[in-house]
Amino acid sequence: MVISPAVLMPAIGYGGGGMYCNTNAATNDGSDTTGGTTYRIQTWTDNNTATYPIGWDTGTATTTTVEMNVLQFRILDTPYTQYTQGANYTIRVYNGVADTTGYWAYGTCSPPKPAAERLREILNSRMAPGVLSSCKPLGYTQDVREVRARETLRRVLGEDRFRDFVRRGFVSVRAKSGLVYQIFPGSDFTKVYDNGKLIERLCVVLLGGFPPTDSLIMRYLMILNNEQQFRGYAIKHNVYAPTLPMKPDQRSLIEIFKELKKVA
Amino acid sequence: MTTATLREIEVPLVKNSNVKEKIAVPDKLRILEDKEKAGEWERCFRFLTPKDGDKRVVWDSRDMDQIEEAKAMFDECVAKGLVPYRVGRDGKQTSEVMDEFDPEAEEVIFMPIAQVAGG
Repeated sequence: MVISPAVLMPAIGYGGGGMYCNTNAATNDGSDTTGGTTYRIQTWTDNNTATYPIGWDTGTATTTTVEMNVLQFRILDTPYTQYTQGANYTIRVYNGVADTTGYWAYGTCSPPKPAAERLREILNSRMAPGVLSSCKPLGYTQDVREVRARETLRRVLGEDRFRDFVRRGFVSVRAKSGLVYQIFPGSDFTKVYDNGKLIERLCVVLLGGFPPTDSLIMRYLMILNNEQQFRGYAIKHNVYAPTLPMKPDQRSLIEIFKELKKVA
Repeated sequence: MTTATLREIEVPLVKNSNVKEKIAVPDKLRILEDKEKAGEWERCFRFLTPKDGDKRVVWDSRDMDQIEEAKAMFDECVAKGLVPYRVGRDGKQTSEVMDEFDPEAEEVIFMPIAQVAGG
């Protein structure tokens, strides 16, 4: 397939939290039969409207100009190894997911971090030890079943503990035995701690297509009411040592700064 | 006018099966809509269901007829294998399984225990 930037680029638009690329238009150059299956585009905006030259190193089109209200944009990856390096930006073509009926692909806006910010992050990461955390804030859901299940959980836990659950993504409960159970929604393992040490991972699920939070409610109520019954259902899994955070970059800050400056 | 299907709650009660049994909601009991709150004197049954996530049935604790119907429904649910957990007032945690119907229980969550399995 040959991608013509002259056709592709005017199809780029953006709105809300994401942006869209009409891949039908992008691939409608007469030589392509896979329209609608390939492109995802990432872009970010500033306050400028500018014209940028775009060079293509493969394909029939060589150069063109695009006027868009974006300072930088890129098409991620490529099944066809098309890769274009502009003066200030990079364009790559990506084999992503698209709506094959409407020929719309979807991307997200996430501008690359500037060198200064990356350097700041590196400095920050060197100022404190890495932290292991199970926290994974609860995401937004449009599934009305899950919304209802969360309402039920709110009723079961009370406001304060429910807020903790939303923030951390799990519920901890101390059973009568003194063991602490860390319960996650869905089919995630329930972790068992004894005096702060992870001793077991138990798997108990609610079959039949229940929303994830219903599964958590079931475990929570069972553990509080009849821990032994819960453990009777559970299948035990091995406990692994937690994955340590990535080893920090050992190079000196001067070396890192030089590299960032080179890239910028 | 509510239809007959709306007055039933589908709950999976058979182990290792997707077969769902229907539990009829008595005429005098009310099914709460989303975001609708139970009244001050109303007591609530919550059903965990795959289809709805959560289904709430309420009755007025001052009305003997409704209490009787609630008791009948409670007994039917228990007989079919649902386990009733009492939820404490003001969201206070509780783990109490109810042996018999208590009209003072503010909320009762029915758990389809047949669907619980190790994974």
